[in-house]
Amino acid sequence: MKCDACKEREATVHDNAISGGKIVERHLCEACAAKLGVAPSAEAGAAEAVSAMLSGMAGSGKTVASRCPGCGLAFATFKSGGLLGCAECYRAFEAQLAPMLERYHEGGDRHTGKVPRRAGPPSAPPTPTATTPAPPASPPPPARPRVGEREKQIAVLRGQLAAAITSEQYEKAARIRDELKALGDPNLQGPGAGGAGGGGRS
Amino acid sequence: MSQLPPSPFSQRVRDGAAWLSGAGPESDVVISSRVRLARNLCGLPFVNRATPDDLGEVAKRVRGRAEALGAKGLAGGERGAGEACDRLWVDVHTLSALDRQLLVERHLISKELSKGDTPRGLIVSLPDERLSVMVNEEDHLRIQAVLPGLCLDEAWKVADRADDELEAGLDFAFHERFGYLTACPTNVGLGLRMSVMLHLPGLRLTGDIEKARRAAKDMSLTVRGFYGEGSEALGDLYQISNQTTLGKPEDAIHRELAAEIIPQVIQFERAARARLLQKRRSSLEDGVYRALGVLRACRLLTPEEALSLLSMVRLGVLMGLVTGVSEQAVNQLIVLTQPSHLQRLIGEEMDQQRRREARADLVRERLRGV
Repeated sequence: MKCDACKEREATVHDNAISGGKIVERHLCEACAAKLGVAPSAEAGAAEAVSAMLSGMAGSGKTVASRCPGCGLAFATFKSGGLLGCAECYRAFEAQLAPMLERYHEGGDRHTGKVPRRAGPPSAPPTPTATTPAPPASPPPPARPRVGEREKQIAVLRGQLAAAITSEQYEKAARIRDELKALGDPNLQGPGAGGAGGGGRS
Repeated sequence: MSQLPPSPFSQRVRDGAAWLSGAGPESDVVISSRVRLARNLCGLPFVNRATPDDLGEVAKRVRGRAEALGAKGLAGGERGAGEACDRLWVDVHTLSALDRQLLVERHLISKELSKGDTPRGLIVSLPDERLSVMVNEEDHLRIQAVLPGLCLDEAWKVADRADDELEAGLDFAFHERFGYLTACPTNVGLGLRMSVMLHLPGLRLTGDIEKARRAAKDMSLTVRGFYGEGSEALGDLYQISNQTTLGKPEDAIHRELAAEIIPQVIQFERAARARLLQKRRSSLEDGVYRALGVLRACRLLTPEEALSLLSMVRLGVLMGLVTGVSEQAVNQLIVLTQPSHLQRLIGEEMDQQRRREARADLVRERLRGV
């Protein structure tokens, strides 16, 4: 069997992913599998796919990864060890993790609270070069106002509010609305808006 | 027995630990308050998937940032800087087993961080030790603030500020939906654990401790022993902390613990103590005086027995049954009777039998009374 990706080399890696609630088989050569971050173990991939189907995690239309392209951690290894391998794991396994997290955190499915000052996509790490053996005594970074933090929190909370209303969790929705009011969400300003501050950090 | 070489913490041992000072609000029941934030650096695998080189890189970046800030910048800047900076960073993997254990006993590092020889570090604010950062534990950074008494708000401010200061020079892994990313998904979101250490001998003596434990679990709180995860409640010391970290802001968790749950536990414990005094005074006194008698007369003492007897003496002091012994003296013995503290205090490496003798000597001396 030829590789699905390059159509040239012999396929030796057989991977199962879930897409749209269906198992999608991929047959790849080792080089393409490595490029695509696919597990070189057919059994592991299939077992995870089936397990994900059984636990009702599939069907979102998103592809369910069996291995993190960032650090190579297999989802099965995470399930037995309980630890993720890198930040990328959260993206790779998002579909599987989301319901687990919601269960563990008692309905909490989205972050609310502090966000890093460095809002926006992570910048390239300031990697010291080999010619600077000691940690660089870098000058203190310029003070950055928390521009955008409030807006970011409001955006996150609005998402949560919508989700709570859709799932008919009205008490939760009321709590979120109060937090939005306290943050001064312009959408909620009007008669009765405001009230005791609650959105600030303790 | 061989003399111990000096260590960064030799000088600090004699006075015990600041979080055991007995100061702070509600200190009859609440020993200390702790706030921990878990953070990871962008672009490097989490500790469990990292190579020693990756871990070295994490340590280098965090150390660089901490040294650029200095102790003042990191820990709040309220104290004089004279003593502050020289011991800011500790390479934990280069310490002797005894000194690693000493840091565990002071609750500055976890048992997990104390084991292993890959690059791992500790940042600690001196002289008060109220801020510490474990580097390369389960997460790249574990920022912790510990204060005596019920002081979660102040502990939060200290940890939050250190987080801001570190983050201004380091990129922390953050996801728009899941928040701060941590190796264990049970910490994801806020990466926050707020916990209080409680002394609950009254609830144990009235037989209500299990009820309190179950009630706390029903409220999604985690109850642990003196040394955290998996440890027993030695000396009637318990830690109660939040379990969930996703979907609630920091102030909601703080409010639940500091304004709702902990005050209730404090009230239960005080009611249990009052009930004991009223209805079972002679057996309470018997327990307290027997404990004091043993501690003032014994010649060999294990750390477990010391903690359990000290718990009764502390209860006696707080209830006015024991005079001439201060609450602080009893509190500090909780940490000074631990194996590494004892050896550092005496300045000798000792085998178990010698430690038992030295522990009994120390306790007799400190509880001599009037």
